[in-house]
Amino acid sequence: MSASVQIQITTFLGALVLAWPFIGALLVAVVAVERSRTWALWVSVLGCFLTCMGFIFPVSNGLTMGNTVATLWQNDPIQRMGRVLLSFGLLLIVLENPPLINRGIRSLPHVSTALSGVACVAQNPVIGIGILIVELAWGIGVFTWPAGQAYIGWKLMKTSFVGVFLILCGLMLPKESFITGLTIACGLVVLAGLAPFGNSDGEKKQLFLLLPLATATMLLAMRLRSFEGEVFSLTLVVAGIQSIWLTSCVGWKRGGHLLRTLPLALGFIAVGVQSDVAALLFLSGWCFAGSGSLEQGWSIRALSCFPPNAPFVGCLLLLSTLPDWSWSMAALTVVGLLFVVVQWASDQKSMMLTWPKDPAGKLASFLLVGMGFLLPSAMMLGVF
Amino acid sequence: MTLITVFVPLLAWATVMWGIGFLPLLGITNAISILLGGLNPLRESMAVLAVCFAVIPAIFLRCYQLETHYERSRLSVTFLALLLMVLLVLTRVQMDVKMGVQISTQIKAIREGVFFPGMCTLIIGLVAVVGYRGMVWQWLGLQISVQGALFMAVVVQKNVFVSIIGFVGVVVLLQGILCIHRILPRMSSLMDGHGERNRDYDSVFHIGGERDKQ
Repeated sequence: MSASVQIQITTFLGALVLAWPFIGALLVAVVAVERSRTWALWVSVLGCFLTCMGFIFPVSNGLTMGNTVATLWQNDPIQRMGRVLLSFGLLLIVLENPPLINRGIRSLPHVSTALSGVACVAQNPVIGIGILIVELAWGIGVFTWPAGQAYIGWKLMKTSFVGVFLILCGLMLPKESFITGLTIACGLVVLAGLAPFGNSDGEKKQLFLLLPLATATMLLAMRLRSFEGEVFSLTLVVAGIQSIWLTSCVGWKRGGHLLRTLPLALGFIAVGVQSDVAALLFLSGWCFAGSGSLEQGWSIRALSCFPPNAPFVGCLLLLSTLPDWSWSMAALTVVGLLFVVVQWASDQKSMMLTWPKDPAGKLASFLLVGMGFLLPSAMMLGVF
Repeated sequence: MTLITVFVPLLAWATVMWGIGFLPLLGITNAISILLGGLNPLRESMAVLAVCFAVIPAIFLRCYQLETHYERSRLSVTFLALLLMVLLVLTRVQMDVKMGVQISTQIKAIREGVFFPGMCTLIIGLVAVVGYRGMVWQWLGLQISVQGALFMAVVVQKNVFVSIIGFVGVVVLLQGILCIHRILPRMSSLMDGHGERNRDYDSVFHIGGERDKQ
């Protein structure tokens, strides 16, 4: 196969990976309620297949229509893996939820996954943030529109837009100054909904928006880190540690919703210490942990970093790099994490190692264990 | 830095302290200070947006009965906003400005001090969003932040920021209108038969109204 044909095929595949969730969202919104879940399942399964193909066969670097591919979109392996996680997260959301009557809410996970995917690959991170704002506006609009939902939508909007304004403020300031790093990192943390900024009412449907949004925020944080300096990394690490400690202090009876964001907190620490593969492992925990309710033992085990799930492997990887960065931060992270683990381990029922009965649980458990093996192996083989 | 630019954060602070009556004034002052920096299509469109984002909420809220409960955190929010404003102005002196080969627009703007009114306004708005519990007050905070961000975007002179912030302003405006329309009762429900307001009417339009009530 000649080089130009190869370039064209891989570019088409890359573009299809980005466009497919939009097409899927349209299809899911158009079909009748009874058939919508089946359609959504097929669409998301195909999306997963396409993103995996996009990961294995990346866009070849060369000239297409006068532009180098590198100028079209960001194509590094971390971002491609992020899109794989997003697509499998979408599949799990579809598997976990019954068919929904409202067209907007039904297609929301597809739209937000699509926009998150596009935000991650935008060449300029500022445009990526702009796309995230579009996603946020769409999601909040969809939540607020049905009668009686205005206050929930408003609460979501209030918190997220504080994050948006902080990020925009930081991006407009000169690079590598103290305030810039601090403001952008705080904004990213608030936008991702890290405890205590996340949704406290435990509204399950909000995950349709927040799951892809927080994933894209963390993937963008990895890209912003390269030109925002030391303060940016330090703020992310401190925010992550305070979130872990908050989760451990509030306790498992009252802080169930805080545990849902624990992988995000650990992920931000990993981004701060430049351990991107560990961040991806924590992101798999965030994307595949379902709604994180107390009835789902597998979900609780994944969130509280129990072996053999991906977040556990992420912890091992993080703790191998964190002491090099700062001993005190490493000690604080380990102690905070131990408190969380001990609290959740005391709940014997959810900690029993049983194979889940629901299809979403089976797939999620398989993916969590699989990613735990796959990502470090790929790192050792030099993919990342 | 012109004198009118100094008024932008002060008016933002007054809006946080006393209520939405000051928002149109803030928008108009912001628009004038944007236009005084020079006339070009970008600045003119930003000035129009600043006025729209400030005047539309004030007109819209006239049709609704606003939350009348007293904001306990009003004093602390006002002082926190003032403290942050002073801190930001002081940080300007400490800001690490690199003596590079080419000085960027942002660094030039910081040296001339035109950047900080926008940033102060933005931070004051965020303090109001976080500190107040009432929905109208929080919306007001977001509107103030939009004004500050518009000012900053004009100073930075980058189209990408201008378009993003314009979009954010539209989203904040429309979403706020939708939520307030869904949650707050219409003013017409408070009118008596002769088209006059009931005595219960009390709002943040009426400066110091809630204090008088106590």
